[in-house]
Amino acid sequence: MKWLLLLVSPVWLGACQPALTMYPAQVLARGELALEYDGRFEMTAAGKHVTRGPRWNGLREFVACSERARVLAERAEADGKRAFGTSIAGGILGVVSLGALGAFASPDPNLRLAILGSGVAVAALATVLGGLSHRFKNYSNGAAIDAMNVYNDEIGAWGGDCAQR
Amino acid sequence: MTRALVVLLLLPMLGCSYVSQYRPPRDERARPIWDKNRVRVHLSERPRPACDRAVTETVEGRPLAIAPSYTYDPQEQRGLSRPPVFVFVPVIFWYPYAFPAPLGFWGYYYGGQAGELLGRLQIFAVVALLVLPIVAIGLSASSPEEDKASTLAIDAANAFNDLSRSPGNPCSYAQAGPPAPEGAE
Repeated sequence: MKWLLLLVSPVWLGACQPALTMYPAQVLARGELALEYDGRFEMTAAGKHVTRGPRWNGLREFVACSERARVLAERAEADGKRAFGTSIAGGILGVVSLGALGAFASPDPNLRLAILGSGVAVAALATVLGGLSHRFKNYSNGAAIDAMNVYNDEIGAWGGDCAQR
Repeated sequence: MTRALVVLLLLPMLGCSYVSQYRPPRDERARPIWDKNRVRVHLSERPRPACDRAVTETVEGRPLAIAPSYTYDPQEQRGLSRPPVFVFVPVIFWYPYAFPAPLGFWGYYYGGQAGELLGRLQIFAVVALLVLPIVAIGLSASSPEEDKASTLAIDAANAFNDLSRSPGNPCSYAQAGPPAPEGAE
């Protein structure tokens, strides 16, 4: 069991100790979006939570009055949904594939190999989905931060917001 | 064969990162901008050393003169020329995580040529079954961004903007001198 923990620990040590924002923005224009990080990117405005990555629900509505920002926010939300879907699918298939280790209960070596091979195929698919989820999260966060910057340049940093318009 | 399989599996992860199309205007505001898989701070002009120090001190939590108000009166953009843009990259030594790669099982003897092949295939399958799900779950659950570098960049951008909008510190707009006359190079 120890060796299994040793195999798992490097992954989770990397994944479970996120850095945190030490200095949230304080002096902001009224509708200006600010970025924070607490394991995930988060956007706030006037001290209130607006949205967080990688799904960025609500960002499109918040920046809707800036055409360029809205397009970027739509892309961020779409990629965020894809990231969520591929993450869930990759995680579930990864766990399911471990079930193939039960093949050793069978005395038939051919059946054993067939079950193990199927398990490897499922695990490979899970890994590809995990990689895709990484890519979608990357695209989602990048597009959302671009949307925030465009919105702030056009509206937010000048004291406006889309609720006014 | 194995190498080809690994490359094929890792292709989606090695695929291109998001390339930002955002081009920041030239003004006094610091912006967190996306660069491949991390956030960087973008500033149009290099801040003076005193301002640099003030930002560092603010991020580290020492008290500095931040305006008590939570609202900010936007200033007019100053200067029309476009000097070189500086991108400040926090230097962080960060090793994401290691993929476990158990090796050295190939000396296993199963008996007979066909039996040996079958045995090796089973060992390969077991190793793959132990490694791939961990990689898959790790990738699915973790975030792709370099969190420490990104956090430091966000902190620096937030601190710089707060200081530049507050009076009485080396980053204040008021400390930056009068705006350049129109038409001046």
